[in-house]
Amino acid sequence: MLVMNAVEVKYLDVILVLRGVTLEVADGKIVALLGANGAGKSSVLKATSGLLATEQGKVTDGSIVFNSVRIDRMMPEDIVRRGIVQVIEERKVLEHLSVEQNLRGGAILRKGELRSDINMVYDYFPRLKQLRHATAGYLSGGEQQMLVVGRAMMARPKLMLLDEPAMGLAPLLTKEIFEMLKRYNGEQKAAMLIVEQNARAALSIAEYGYVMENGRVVLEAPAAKLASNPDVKEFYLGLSELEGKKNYREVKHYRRRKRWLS
Amino acid sequence: MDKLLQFLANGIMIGGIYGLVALGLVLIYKSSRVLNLAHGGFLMIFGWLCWSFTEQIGMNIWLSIVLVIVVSILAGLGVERVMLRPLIGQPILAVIIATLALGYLLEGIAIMAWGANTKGLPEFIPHSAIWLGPVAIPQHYIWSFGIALVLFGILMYSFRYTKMGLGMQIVSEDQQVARSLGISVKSVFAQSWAFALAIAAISGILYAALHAVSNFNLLVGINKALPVMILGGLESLPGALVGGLIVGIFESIGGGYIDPLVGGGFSDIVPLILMLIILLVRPYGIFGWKRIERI
Repeated sequence: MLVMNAVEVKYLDVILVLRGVTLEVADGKIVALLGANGAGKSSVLKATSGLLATEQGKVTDGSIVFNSVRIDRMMPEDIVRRGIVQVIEERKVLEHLSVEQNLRGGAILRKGELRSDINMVYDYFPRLKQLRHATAGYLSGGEQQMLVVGRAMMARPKLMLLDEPAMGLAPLLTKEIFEMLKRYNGEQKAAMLIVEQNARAALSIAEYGYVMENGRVVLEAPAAKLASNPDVKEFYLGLSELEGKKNYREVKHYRRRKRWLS
Repeated sequence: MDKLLQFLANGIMIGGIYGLVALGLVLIYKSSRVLNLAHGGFLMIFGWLCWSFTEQIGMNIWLSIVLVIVVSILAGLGVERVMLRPLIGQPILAVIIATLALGYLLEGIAIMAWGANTKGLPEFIPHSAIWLGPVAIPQHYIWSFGIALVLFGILMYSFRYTKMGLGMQIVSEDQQVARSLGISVKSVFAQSWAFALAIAAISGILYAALHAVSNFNLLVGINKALPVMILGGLESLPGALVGGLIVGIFESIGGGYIDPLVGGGFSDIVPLILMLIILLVRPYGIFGWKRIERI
């Protein structure tokens, strides 16, 4: 469905952020994109959805193909029309509008009656139904996250790009939201590309995963294999195989041996 | 008592025109976050254009009014294309300064084209007044008040119930989010500027019909409509009308009673005094959007 081939992304024509990223999201699958801060994961999403244009970024090499159409030079408005919707990081709700107006905003390109779609979102997130007339800016973080995901659902995307949905949320709420995402994927057959720092949560619902570091993909595998990979466990899941107190000298030399972590 | 009622009636009526001018300002601010300092200049130039079409070219007054409105819509689209689009993503202050420059440009063009004169528009609304009891209300005022209400109604309806209105609100909240939802920010800017300049054209012609066509008309934009917008709230359409009424009433009553005592001029500063007061007491205006802070 989505194929990125050797994509290079630059901001302001000089800041090289992605150095040849190749990845793929198959129809209806959930793919996780992991990596430390500054690896370029958000840029991968923004290159796909076209929002690079809003931050003075450009795809300078490589291609992004969605359902046999090249989208790397398209305007974000056209990409949304084709069925790719990005949930931007940091929960940007439309602050002064109500919850229901936010949801209607999500479906602004669609024609026809929206009532059934709004009810579908309330079905996934019952708390939003209770808050439907509340001003979105005053909602708590978790509720705002549900709102932006619901807003993306309103567009009935074929591919949903999520940028750090679990950021700043309590563990139980994170679990709830990811369960809803998995349910949405199962029922609506929408593919998802999830960028997440919380690797455990992401790998719990993903089928395939990529690990990025410094603008490159350094590891890719089915999610279960990724979760049991010792390097991933050590650097992203916080589980160490070294006995006793962590010997940092050993860690440093261990990391040095792994070239892709340079 | 009669005098007070007359001042009150005058104030309400003139407040309608101020509200109409402010409506255009609010529309532009609401969708593109730009304080259009050229609004008064546009108002003045559209008044001149109308005069030019009727007196210099000899067109029928109603035809020239329609033509001026068409020109204003094109001007709105042109401003978006030439001035706003290159500045998307730049600090908003840059755009505001650009509108300031545009205002001066329009003033200069008016002087070059028609000289620094004062002319009158042919009468298309009867000048006679209607008597409501002891109060005389010129028919101009009633027409402009009525037109203001109609335009206000159209705008409120479209903001609340149409997709275009929702799109404008979303663009004014967050341009990046708007683009991520598929809204074309450029189209929204173009639509709102076209509509706002059409309002400027209508209010410019009405104001010129009430007073005269002169280069001083542009002062209405800054001295009257800006305080109205701040009083009512920068993003609020009802605020523009309510603010207009308040400014109109206070200006009329204040000017009526105090002008004779100080030899004139007090009515000019009343809107500015009101603006100062509201900024000290309630800076967001009566209906403005407060900055939402989550603690």
